Amino acid sequence: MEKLLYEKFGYSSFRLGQKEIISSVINHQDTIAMLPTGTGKSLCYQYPSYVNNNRVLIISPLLSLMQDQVDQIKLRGEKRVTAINSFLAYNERKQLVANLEAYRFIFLSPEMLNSNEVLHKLKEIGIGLLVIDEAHCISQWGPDFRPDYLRLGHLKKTLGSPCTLALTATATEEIRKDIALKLNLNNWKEWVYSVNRPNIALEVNTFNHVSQKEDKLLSLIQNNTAPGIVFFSSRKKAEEMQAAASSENVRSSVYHGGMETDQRILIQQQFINGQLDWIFATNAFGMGINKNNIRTVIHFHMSSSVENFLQEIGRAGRDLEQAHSILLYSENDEFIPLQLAELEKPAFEQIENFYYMFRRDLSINEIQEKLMLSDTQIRVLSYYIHHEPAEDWAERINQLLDKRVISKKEKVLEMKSYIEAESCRRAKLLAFFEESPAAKADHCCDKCGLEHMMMNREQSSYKEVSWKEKLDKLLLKNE
Amino acid sequence: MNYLDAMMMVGLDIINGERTQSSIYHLLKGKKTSQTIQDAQLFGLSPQFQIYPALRRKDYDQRLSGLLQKDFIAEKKDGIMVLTGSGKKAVSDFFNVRPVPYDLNGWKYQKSAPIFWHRLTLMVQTASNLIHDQQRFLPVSRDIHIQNWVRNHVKQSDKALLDYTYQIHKELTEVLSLENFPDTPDLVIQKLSGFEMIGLTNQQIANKLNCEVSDVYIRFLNSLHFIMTAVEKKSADYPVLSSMMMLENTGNTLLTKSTTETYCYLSKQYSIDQIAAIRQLKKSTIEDHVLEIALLDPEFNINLYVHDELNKKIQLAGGDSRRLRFIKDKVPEADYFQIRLVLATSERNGMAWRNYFMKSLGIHHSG
Repeated sequence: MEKLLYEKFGYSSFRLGQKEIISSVINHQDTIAMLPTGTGKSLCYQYPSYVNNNRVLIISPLLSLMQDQVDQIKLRGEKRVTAINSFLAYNERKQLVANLEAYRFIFLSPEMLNSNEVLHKLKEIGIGLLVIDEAHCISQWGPDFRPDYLRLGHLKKTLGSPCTLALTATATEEIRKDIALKLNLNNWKEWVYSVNRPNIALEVNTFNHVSQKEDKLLSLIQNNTAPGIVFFSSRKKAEEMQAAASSENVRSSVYHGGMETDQRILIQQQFINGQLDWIFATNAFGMGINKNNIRTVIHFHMSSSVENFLQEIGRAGRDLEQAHSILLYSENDEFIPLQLAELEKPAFEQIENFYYMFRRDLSINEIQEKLMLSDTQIRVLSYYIHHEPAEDWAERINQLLDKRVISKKEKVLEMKSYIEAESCRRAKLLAFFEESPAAKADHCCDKCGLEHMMMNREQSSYKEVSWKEKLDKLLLKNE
Repeated sequence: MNYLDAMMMVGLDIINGERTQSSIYHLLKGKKTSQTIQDAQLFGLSPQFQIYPALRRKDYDQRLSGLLQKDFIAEKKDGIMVLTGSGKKAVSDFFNVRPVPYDLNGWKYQKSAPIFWHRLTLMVQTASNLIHDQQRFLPVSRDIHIQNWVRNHVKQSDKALLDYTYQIHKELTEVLSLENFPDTPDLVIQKLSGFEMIGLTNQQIANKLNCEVSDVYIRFLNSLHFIMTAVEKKSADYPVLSSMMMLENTGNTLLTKSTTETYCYLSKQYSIDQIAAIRQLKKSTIEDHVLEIALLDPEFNINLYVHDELNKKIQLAGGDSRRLRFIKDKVPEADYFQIRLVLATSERNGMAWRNYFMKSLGIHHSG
């Protein structure tokens, strides 16, 4: 097995869990795999494709992540990889779908499941392995529920029930059961690994006032080990703090969904290349980027759930060297995510009006505009209008969405309880997943004590040069 | 005040109250309606066409009210805004100490400039990595057409690759060192990526040059259009750069679909009336198509619609003015379509734009 691993992927050994998951997939067994963020999930579906020589369909919910994954696979030399998503213009998509048999790895965003043309073609060319990435999105009880994911059970049947691999970084046992149920898995195997990342030290600093938090952030990024990411829940704050850091000569940049794609690509690559030490980002950043030596992740705003928090800090220390998570909390920080949870739910009147407008055959776009519904809201309502009986529709959907608001708020409060933990933070974090720390980490958390933690700083020698020098460096080969 | 403000003020000054201020927004944004396209032609504003596609209405309106507050512009009546004396002075002062965007040619290069630029950046990145023996890198452009173009043009053998890369280096150095290059070459070169070197974003270049992002955007575009014009003029000196400017489907890829259809009939010697009848469209629509073609295709001959003598008369009558009625009064035998056609063809070389800076603002090209 290791020989193929080296030839195709350039690794000399498997990481924790990979071999077991791969073996079960190679043996055509439906599999649920829970591996912590940043430990190489994508190998689990790429590798089997070369053994069984079949085509892989990967359902992935995050567009930016999907592009990164496609880029990564291409980078290792596999060109037969493509993505079908809403980034494509109509004609491009048509052309791509017509030639779909040319690809070994096909990424698909869930909303594309609405297209009969795509489904038909997938069925025609045959899928050997169906991969559901971020599989916890299928569960209504999880914080990231995506109604589109409920169509996946049907997709599996349409494709002739190929072997299915459900991947997730964070799913409680309840959610894993739900995944198996919704995907119609048979005799599935479950490989569950600890969400714990022992090489990431955990720390929380609390403040009475935002201005103290801002001062602290500026001193942290000047004294803590780069490369690092600072997460914000608002673009504006990220920009503001980056400007402040910039005037302290910190090599940094902002990164958020409002930036143009080509500019975002440049920032990612500068960061990978060591031209930048710090990225000030919204959580749009870095899901799929392949940078192993991120040392520090700072949260300027708290995450909206423990699951998201784990995903975000999971970008640090992929090289297994010491890394550091620092969460900065100032009083009442939880108000923003709590409010957001509420705002994400459409009001009862909107739900009712949606129902009547839909019955009067208004287009979804028209309804969205008239009722001023967000993209997420319209997506959820459109799903339920097709999949829930008409009787008392608005009332029932309203109740259902109310329940989801409550569960989202509970998630925020879980996160808050991590911040307020009085003893070991790692134990607290793992307890949400019914786990306990296997062994004491060398540098566990601020509650257990973080003195004498040393991290390797990689000095980058990148220098800016004049245009003539730069042109020479780029295009002339000095022997 | 920055470049975007200045561009807005120049636009308002040139239309001189004959159109609403909104027309400048549509022009900068590059809205493809016949109204916007004709405004660009009639007033000689086609260089400004689509030079700021990312512009948002809210941002534009905020800038306008800022300019109103400073008394740089005045609202004559609803939606009609003109430059004030101090506004004119402000624009003039602004450009006296900064590069003047003489070389902008937004209408002409709307389609080819982004393609040229993306090919150039991806080719530089690819060649730079390959000559440094790096086969794997993340491309700065994900556009599949651009990637295919580079794949088809990059050289395979070591020797050919080195020669090709050397040639890119030579052509870029040459064109950026031209005496009349309008701005700092950093605007162009710092954006490029290659072996162990990733290009800067607009924001980073703005920090470096100590200006706003919107300035970087407009100044870069002016430099890019300068390069394209220079390469077109002496394509034999720039074989690689000119190959990057070549669009695959020759012909007028800039024309709208409907106009292309009209163009087909025209080349088969159908008259405007005949085409209107066949296509069941209004005569004025077909005339708009003809105007569009006249502006875009330098080979298109308007003799058929305006004979030489009348053409000269219209040009003389117009002088610096581009007001239709003014010209019509002086040359009553011409109809409006003919006047617009003459104005459109005289606009092909962007003279009105350059004249504005020289005559109205008294700014002379320093380069």
